[in-house]
Amino acid sequence: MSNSIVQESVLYYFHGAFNKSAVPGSLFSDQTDCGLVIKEAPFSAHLNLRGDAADSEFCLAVAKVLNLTLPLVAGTYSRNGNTSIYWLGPSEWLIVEIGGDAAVIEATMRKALQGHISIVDVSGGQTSINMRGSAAATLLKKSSVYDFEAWDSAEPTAGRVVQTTFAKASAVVSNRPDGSYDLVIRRSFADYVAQWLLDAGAEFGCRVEQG
Amino acid sequence: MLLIHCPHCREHREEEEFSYGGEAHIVRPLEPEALSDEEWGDYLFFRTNSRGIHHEMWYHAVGCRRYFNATRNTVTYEILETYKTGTQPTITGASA
Ligand SMILES: [Zn+2]
Repeated sequence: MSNSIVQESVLYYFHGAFNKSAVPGSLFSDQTDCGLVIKEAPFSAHLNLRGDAADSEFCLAVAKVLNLTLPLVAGTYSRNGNTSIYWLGPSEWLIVEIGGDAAVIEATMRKALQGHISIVDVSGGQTSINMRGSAAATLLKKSSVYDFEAWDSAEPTAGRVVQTTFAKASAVVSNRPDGSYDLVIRRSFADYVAQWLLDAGAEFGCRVEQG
Repeated sequence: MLLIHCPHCREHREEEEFSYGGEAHIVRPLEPEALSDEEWGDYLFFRTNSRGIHHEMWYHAVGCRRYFNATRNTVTYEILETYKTGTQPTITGASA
């Protein structure tokens, strides 16, 4: 019996997975020509924040702790380095710090915030994945009911986020300046979503990279 | 499939993201113990079931997870407006 605990990320068993339709001539082609590449951002801090958007002290305190502006416009998010804060609703936000420590963030925020607020560590319940490649936008369109094309003409175009359905599960989808997309998915639906991505991405070639 | 405008997300979204919440603007009696059984039963179970203009609650279940109200024509299914909880509709049976 070993006493050491091996930490496995949510999509651990999908690392290295690869799927491509059996198109003649492309069956054994190199994995690098995949139209869709999935990469998990493992062991990240996810915190759900509730508070009053009309309370400027609250907004400023959050901004100061995270060194980020609290997004007040529906469907937008702000990002600084590894930390993002996503608008989820008029009084609700999701904070994600890639590789961050949720307990530290929560403690710092509790110290800085006053009044009727809520911070919940939801790190164990969800994971963040990045979707890149030439087929990423096409794949989103066929997996979700949301009109992602609307982002092309939205104001602002960048830093968009939406909470919608993805393959009938729920997901928080956001766009990145490099043209890729981030998805925050539920841990309980992660295996299903990963299998969906591999299946839906087969026509373009799809692989999962180690996070 | 309906496209429903969420007043919180400020955009039209697919019906699949929403769930129906029943008739809107039903005020809970301030003193339930002072009501007769009939009045309490009316409050709990009886709805107007209008033909035409109807004010109802909708829940943006997989979006912002907020309730809001909609004015819908129950004959044509057309949603004439959506507005935040706590505000009043601009389109009513009298004005239509
Ligand atoms: Zn909404």
